[in-house]
Amino acid sequence: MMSARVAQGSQDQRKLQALNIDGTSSGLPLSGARLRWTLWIHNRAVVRPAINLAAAVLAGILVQIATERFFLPRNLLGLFVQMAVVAIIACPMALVMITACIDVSVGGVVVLSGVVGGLISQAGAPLWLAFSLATLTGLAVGYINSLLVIRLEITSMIATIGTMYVCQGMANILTNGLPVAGVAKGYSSLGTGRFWGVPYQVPITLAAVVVFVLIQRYTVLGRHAVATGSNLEGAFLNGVNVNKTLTLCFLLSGLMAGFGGVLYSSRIGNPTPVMDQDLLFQVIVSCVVGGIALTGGEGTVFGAFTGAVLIVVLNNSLNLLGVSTFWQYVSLGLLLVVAVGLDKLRLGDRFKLRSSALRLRPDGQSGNGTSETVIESEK
Amino acid sequence: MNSELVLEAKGLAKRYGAVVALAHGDFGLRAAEVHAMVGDNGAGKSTLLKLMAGAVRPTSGELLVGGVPVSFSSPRDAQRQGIATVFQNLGMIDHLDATANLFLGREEYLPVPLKWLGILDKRKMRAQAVEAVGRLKINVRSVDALLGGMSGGQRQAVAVARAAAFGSRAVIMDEPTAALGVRETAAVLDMIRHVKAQGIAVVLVSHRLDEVFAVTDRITVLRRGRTVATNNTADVSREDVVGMMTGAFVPSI
Repeated sequence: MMSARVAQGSQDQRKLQALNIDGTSSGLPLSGARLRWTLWIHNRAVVRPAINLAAAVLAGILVQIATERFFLPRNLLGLFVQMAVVAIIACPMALVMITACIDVSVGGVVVLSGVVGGLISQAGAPLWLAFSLATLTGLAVGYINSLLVIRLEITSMIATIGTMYVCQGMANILTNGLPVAGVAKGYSSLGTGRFWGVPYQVPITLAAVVVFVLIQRYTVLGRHAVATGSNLEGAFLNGVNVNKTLTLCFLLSGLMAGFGGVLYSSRIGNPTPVMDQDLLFQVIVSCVVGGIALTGGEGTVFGAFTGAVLIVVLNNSLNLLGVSTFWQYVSLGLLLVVAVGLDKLRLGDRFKLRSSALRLRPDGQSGNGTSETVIESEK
Repeated sequence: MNSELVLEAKGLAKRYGAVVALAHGDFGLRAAEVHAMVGDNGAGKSTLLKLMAGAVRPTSGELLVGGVPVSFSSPRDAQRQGIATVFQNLGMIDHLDATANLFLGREEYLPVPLKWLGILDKRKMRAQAVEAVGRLKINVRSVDALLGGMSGGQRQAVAVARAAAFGSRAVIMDEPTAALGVRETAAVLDMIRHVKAQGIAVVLVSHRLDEVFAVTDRITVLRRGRTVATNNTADVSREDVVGMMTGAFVPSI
C-alpha cells in the first residue's frame, strides 16, 4: 500500500539483512552510539538505579547546603548502619521478586532469628554458634516457604504471610513475649562494632550487594530466575528446573533474613520478640523503587540496593532537617507512588517502546521488517 | 539406513480421568525427514506431540528413541535425548535476550571450580548463538536483543533456532506459523528446510495443508485420537488428506 518500492527491496537486500546478525550496522534505522543510547535510556534496569542514585546525591547536596551535616564521615557511615538490614535482605528479595514471587516472611524471620540467637547465647553458647544457628533458622524458614510454594502450590504472598505470623508467634512463645536478657557480653559487637572507625555494617552491606549482583548477572540462578518470573510454563517446557530455581531463591531470602535478624538484634543489644513492620515494607519498597516489577522477570539486584540507598538518604535528610518522623512515612509512601507512577508515564509498555525505537527511521518512515510483509501479500 | 526411525510412538495413549485425549497414537519419524502430523481439532495432535516432547506422560504405549524404549518425565529428558520442541505461543522468555533464550535450560558453564557455582560462560554462548543463527540463516537483528522487543516472526525464528541447535535428532514444531504473516511463514518454512539439510528430522504439526504439502516428505493423519494413516506426501492429494481428517475417506493400507 505505502510504497511498492520498499517491496522491491530485492532478495539481495534481504539476504544481507539475514546475515546482519550482530545488529550493529546495516538494516537498523538507528545505529552505533545512537542505537545503544536509545536502548540504554529505555532500559529500566539502567534508568531506575541511575535516577535513584542521582536523587540520593541531590538530596544529600541540598541537605548539606541547609545544615552542613550530610557529607560528614560520621553521617555517611551512619547511613550504612541504618540501611544494612534492609539492604542485605533486599538483595535476595530482588531475586525472589524477579521470579514473580514475594517473601513477606522476612519480617517474622528477623524477629525469630534474633530471639533464637539471643536464647542460645543466654544458654552460654559461644557467639559464633549463636549467630550461626540464628542464621540457619532463617534458612530453615526459607526452605519451608519453598515447600509451601512448590509442593502445595500456595501463592507465595499467602504462604509467606503464614510463615511470617508463625515466626512472630514462635518468637513470643520462646521468650514469653519479653526481651531476652543475659546475652553474652559481646552480643552487640557485630551491630555496634567498628573496624578502624568503620562500622561492620559497611563491609557486610557491600559484600552482600556484590555477591548478589554477581549471582544475578553471572550465574544460572540469575538467568533462570528471570525465565521463571517472566514465563513460568515456558521456562519449564524449555528445560529450566523451575522448582530448583524457586527453592534457591527462597533459601537465599531466608538465609539473609536470618542473618539480618542477627545484625538487627545485635545492634539493638538485646533481642526482642517484636516485629518491626517498617523493615519488611522498606525491603519491598526498596525493590519496587529499584525497578523490580511485582509481575516478575524485570529489575536487578543493584537496582534494589539503590532503592534502599534512596530510602535511607531521604529519611536521614528529613532527620537532619529536623522534620518529624511522621513525615518520613509520608515521604516513603510518596516516593513509592511517584517512582512507579513516573515510570508508567515515561515508559509505558517497555517492549513496545523498545521495538518502536528500533523501527523508527531518522527520516520518519517506518522500518523494514513489517512493511514488506504487507506489500508482499498484496502482490 | 534412511528408513531407520529416530523417534517412534507405538500405541501411545493418554487419558485424563474419563476423557480420552489420545486413544492410539502411532508415529514413526525417519532420520532427516520432514514429517507432518495433521488432524482436525481434538484429533489428538497436541497430545501426541506433548507425549513425544516429554511434557506429558503417557497412560499406556511405548515411545522409542533410536529403537530404544524411553520414558520422559520432563522436556529436559527429551532434550537430553536430542529431541527438542517448539511449543506454540509458549516457551520463549520476553525478558531474556536471544542468546539466553537459545541456551535456556542448556547453559554452558565455565570450567569446573566455577561451574559448581553455576557461573555461566556467556562469551562461549554468545559465539555459539551467532554461529547457529548464521548457519540456519535466521533473520534476527541481534543475538543480544531482548525477545520481548522482537516481532512474531523473529521470535519464532529464535524458537526454531533453539530447537534446531539442541535437537540433535529431531525437532518437533507445534503450528510454528500459526501467528505469522506471509513473509514470516515463508521464512519459517525455509528454516525447516535448513534444519532438514542439517540431517535433523522435523515433525511439523500444522493446520495449513499448503505448507504441509510444500515442505514435508510424509504425512500422518490423526482422527478422533487415533492414527489413521501415514503416506508419502507425493503419493496423496489434498482431497485424500482432508478425507482422512474428516473420516470421509478411509485408506486401505
